[in-house]
Amino acid sequence: MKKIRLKLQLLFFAIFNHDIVNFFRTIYEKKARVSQSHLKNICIPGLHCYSCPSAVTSCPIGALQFWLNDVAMKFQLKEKINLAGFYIIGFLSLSGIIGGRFFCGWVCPFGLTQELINKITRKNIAFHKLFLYLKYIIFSLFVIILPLLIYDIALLSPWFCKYICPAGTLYAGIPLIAVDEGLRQSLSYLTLLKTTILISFIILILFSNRAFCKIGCPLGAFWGLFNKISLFKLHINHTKCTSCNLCGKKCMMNITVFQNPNSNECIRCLECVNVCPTNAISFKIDDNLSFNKTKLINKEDKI
Amino acid sequence: MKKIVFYIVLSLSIFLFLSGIIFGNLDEGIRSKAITICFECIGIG
Repeated sequence: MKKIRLKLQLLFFAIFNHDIVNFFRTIYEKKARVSQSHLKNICIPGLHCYSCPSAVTSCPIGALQFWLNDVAMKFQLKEKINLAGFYIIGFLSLSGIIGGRFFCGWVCPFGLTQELINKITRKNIAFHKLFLYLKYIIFSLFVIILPLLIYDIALLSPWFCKYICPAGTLYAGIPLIAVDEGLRQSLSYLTLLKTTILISFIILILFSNRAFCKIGCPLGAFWGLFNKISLFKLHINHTKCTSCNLCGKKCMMNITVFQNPNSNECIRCLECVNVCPTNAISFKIDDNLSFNKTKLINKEDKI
Repeated sequence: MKKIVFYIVLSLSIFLFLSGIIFGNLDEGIRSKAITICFECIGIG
């Protein structure tokens, strides 16, 4: 299972970054440029900066902030609002209602990067519960409220991308600044801030796997809200479960799986399913969501 | 209760997703920003 997941993550990473021509052109010409792909209409289910030279798709969190900026601006100017943002919100909630944070575990490019960085130490220290709420504050404040309330009429302000996102610094900032002399001359306090945030997260990731997913990711915070109501869920067979907590020890998100299988933190990597010695954990469609079952029970009651 | 919430969220998500594609301008709303370098995102600005 672990190898299949890694292969899928690498495959998705390659699909989302397949503009190799633009990547090498950027290096060869030593000039920052981004892909002009028509696939940039499409949001991907993961955190990945579209300013990366090889990225061919759009980051839903970046696109959402730009849209909210745009809505606020057009509302003030009394202009017609572009409904493209409905697509982003619909896409995010549709993927959430299907599998909760499933895409964090199987698709997200930044999730893969964190797992690869953590392979250096293979440590996984749990954060205090209070830190886990930080990602909800980041989501509501930096992705929703600030882009809606404070914006520059001439220059849009994607607050999360601008002040926090370590994925943007890693995938786009560092490569573009490294090759483009012009960009190197424009470094500011913002570069220092974003590099410090990136280095801090890399240090945290070395001690706690997927540290950014646990405490900082707004996408994970949003999808986590769907974990308890999603179509696919983790199920514990309590007659088989011996409460040995092997699942909890293996869990990279530090969840006590047999007690809280559909915790908001669960990224559905399915390592717990794999490690369970009694096969008590399964990942399947929630039986309670079927209307047929209710009808069947009612018929049995009548009989 | 969970079943009701699930079906409400599912139908709302499908509605938003489709109405965004049909009535929204994805080229202007999403792609136009994504094909230019976001200097703030990369830490310049």
